[in-house]
Amino acid sequence: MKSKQVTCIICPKGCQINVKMNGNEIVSIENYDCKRGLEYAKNEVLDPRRILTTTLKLSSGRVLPVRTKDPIPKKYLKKAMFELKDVVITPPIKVGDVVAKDVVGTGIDVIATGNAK
Amino acid sequence: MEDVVIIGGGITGCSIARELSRYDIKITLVEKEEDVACGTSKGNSAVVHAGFDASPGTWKAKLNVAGNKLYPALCEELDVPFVLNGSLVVAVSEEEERVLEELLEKGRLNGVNNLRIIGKDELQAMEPNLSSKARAALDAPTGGLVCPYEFTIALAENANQNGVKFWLNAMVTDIEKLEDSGFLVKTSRGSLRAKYVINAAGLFADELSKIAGAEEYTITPRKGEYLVFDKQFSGLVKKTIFPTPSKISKGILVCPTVDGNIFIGPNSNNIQDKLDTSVKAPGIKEIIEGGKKLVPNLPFKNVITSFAGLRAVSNTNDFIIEASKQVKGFVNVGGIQSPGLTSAPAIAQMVKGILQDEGLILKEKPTFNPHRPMKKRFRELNNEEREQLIKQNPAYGHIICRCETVTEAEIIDAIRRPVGARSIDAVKRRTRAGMGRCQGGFCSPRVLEILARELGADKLDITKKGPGSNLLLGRIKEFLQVEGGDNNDN
Amino acid sequence: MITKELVVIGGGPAGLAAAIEAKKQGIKDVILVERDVRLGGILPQCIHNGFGLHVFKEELTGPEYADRFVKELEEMGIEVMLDTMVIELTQDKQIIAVNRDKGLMHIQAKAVILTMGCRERTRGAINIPGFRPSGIFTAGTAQRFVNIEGYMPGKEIVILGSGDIGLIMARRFTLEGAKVKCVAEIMPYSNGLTRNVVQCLEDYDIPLLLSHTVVDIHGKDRVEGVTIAEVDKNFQPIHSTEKYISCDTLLLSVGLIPENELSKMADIKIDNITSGPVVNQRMETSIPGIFACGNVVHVHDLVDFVTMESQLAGRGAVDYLKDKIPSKKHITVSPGPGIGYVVPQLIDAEKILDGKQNFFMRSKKPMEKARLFIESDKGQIRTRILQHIKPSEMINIELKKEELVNKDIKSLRFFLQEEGATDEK
Repeated sequence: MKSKQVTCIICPKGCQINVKMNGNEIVSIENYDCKRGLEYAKNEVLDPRRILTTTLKLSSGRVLPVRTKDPIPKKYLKKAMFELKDVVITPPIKVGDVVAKDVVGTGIDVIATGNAK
Repeated sequence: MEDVVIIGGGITGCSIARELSRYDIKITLVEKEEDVACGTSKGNSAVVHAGFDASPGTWKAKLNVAGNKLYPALCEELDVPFVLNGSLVVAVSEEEERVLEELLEKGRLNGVNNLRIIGKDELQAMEPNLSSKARAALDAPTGGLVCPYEFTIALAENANQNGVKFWLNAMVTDIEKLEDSGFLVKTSRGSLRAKYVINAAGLFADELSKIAGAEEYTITPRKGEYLVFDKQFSGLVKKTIFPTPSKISKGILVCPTVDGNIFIGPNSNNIQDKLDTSVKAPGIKEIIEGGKKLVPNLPFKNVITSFAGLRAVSNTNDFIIEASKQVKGFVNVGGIQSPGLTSAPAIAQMVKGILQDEGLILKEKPTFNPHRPMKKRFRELNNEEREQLIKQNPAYGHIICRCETVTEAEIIDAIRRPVGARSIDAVKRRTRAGMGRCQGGFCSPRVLEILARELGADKLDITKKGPGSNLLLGRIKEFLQVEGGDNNDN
Repeated sequence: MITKELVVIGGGPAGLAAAIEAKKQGIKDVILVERDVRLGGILPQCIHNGFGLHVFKEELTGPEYADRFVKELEEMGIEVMLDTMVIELTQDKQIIAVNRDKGLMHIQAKAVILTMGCRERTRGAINIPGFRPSGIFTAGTAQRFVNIEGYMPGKEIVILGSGDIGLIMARRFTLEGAKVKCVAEIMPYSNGLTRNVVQCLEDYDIPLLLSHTVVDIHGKDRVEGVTIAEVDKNFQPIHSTEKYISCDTLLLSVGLIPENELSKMADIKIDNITSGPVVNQRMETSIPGIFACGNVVHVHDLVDFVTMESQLAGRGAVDYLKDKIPSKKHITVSPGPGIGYVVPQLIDAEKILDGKQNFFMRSKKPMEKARLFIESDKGQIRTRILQHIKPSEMINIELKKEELVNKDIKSLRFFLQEEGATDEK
């Protein structure tokens, strides 16, 4: 049995929610204050995801801000960065354009968050 | 073969270089740092002292009073701001009032003009922010202000314009006396042959004298720490405010600068390491206490920066300016602590005399131009002048440092001028870009870009202050090494 | 001399929203003056997500949030001058601006909106001892180097201060393969949003050292390390806790200061606590017709509130231009115990827009639960229970117009009392 501490970010209170796990199964969740916190804690232990934001090199030498279109598994953040290491984008690009497809095999694309002429 | 090699690009070395550049001789100045004015010359009180402080008969006393008189005309020639704001030495007790009398007498003996002691009412009317405990003061109207690095840079520029060569990033490793005549000066950038060598190496003058086999003396670094306040408090004091001096130091002053800031400092502590210009917490505390004694309502919430400088104190406690008796052609100019800045123009003239006595023939050069290229300071111009300037050169319409209103044209000029800027700090000293309240937060990326463009260099190679002080360590994604690697905690 | 109905100084989120709103409300002759080469202010370098939850009900990155406004501005045909610095502003609304192409311009405005934003506090402002090597950056400057220019200013980093930009940069540096050794915060609580503490530090196991500060900086050319120490209740370092940490970079995230050099030039009254102009219900400064909004007034933690406040300033400017009657009969608003500051500082209750008025304030310290008292010189207006208050998270209180009019109220005060604590009013 493993115990995981999750800091809730739903409201400024920042509850330290305690989740007890048996392998990949949740055994108990303690110390949460509201239903939304409970949901948050569940997701955080079972499948924590984050939007990755970074920049990619432009062929002009400048850089382009980008993000994953949807949150990707937290454990793939660094892998995704490495995968994007040598990507070079050729303008023109506008906000929302897909600049890299299916990052780390998640099926999630990387899109531009800025414009480049 | 150079006629003269000057070691050290501080206020002393640059003053000598500029003075000698009037004559038809070959001169090279070697400096270990990447710019001139990088040592004691950039970290001091920036005060042109009246000259009542030094003991009568010392070199300090003589050269202070002589140097003071040379300043206004020299600054005019070199287009460097000089402010004759006057100094006050403030007494807060009866005992201190007696010290003022002694100072007045010393001043008279040293030849300082127009000294007088003023009473409380006149003092408070002059400087309303002074402590109510201030009961009398020595008023020295010939005390002034100059920006020490701007002045040093101006001297270097003018010397360079008049033919003096500058070797920067050139650390002297050996000085060999040649058998026939003259010297071989070995530096990290190569060697130079010279008939005469002038040792103006500041804190390291003792080491160089030893290397050359000349007279031995010691230089002890004496640290002084300072705090600088935001320009919005310009006018808090108008004159340079000294406390009544102690045995070892003029004390912690409250002082305006030519640029409109107010600073407090310095304290005075002998240290070991000649490179230790770090500011320490107890030091800050000490100068805050000292400053408050003179001006209780100092705006401590608006400190913009702190710094420390090292005075080069010799074991004779006076300037050491003399031709070596042991090594002919080697001239020591060491121990130039306060009032070194004030004395520098007079020291230069004295060194010229020493060289002549030693046999150097000086013939005036008809091409000597005492004026350095005009320096335009956008912030000091009126709007009509600004309009004209932008029409001539659109880069004056592009403001890079918003705190100090410095334009792109001024930064480009600082890089292209004689002995031009090669680093962020060198640009800062020449233009004030980055010296304001945001301390370069906004403009440093822009200055870096202009430097890289002007020098045809990669941004990664641009430094804050010479080799080893690069601002940027790599391009994005370059530090990513292991695929899927975690944070390696260690 | 150029004449304009409305000049907006600054093209960040505040300036963009204010200009758009003024144009929407019928002011044709609007010009926005921006010193950078692009619009958006600090947003283009804030490439992380978390913007727009209130305004657009979706989670955008900084560049995307800016892009929405820039597009709208362009579609509306609002005139923009980029790479242009305003160097003078007078009480009579005369503006002097400079740029490369047009040189020095004199602009006479009928109304002005100030949106110059803020700057970062520096090492000098907090007096960190030590050497002065390369490698000390404010978090925002480092963010610009990384996100706009594509360069890494550091590889092994210590961050002083837990402001949001510092936290965001901790994550950014880590993802770029640099090592963030720790974040030291002098206060016993974080100065950033909880979300950022979790997603930028905890996600990457970066230690947050509360009640710690940097007491010395080592390295003559480039930073080689820092000494950190724990501080006591009076924020004085405890020497026995000093610890050396090797690093090549020290990032400072120690607060932001509204940038009001132009406001001071025009003799606009400045609030000593916020360091921004004193403003009224429509974000008008002490000079009728000169408005201010966004971080130039007070430092916000969410851009969404900047946008809302700036829309109000845009409408205020329109009202001023249409009916020119200055606000009078002001209620003065002030912070009481437990509250750091309140904006706006003045209210003309008759002129409140849409029948409601928002008050932005910050608590002085974190409190689990507290009662906020809203009290006028004519008596208590109401109280409200607030939970999980932190100085870093702005409190937004809405009062109805009828709570403030017709009572001849002269002053209004907000104060906090920790629930269960003794009366300290």
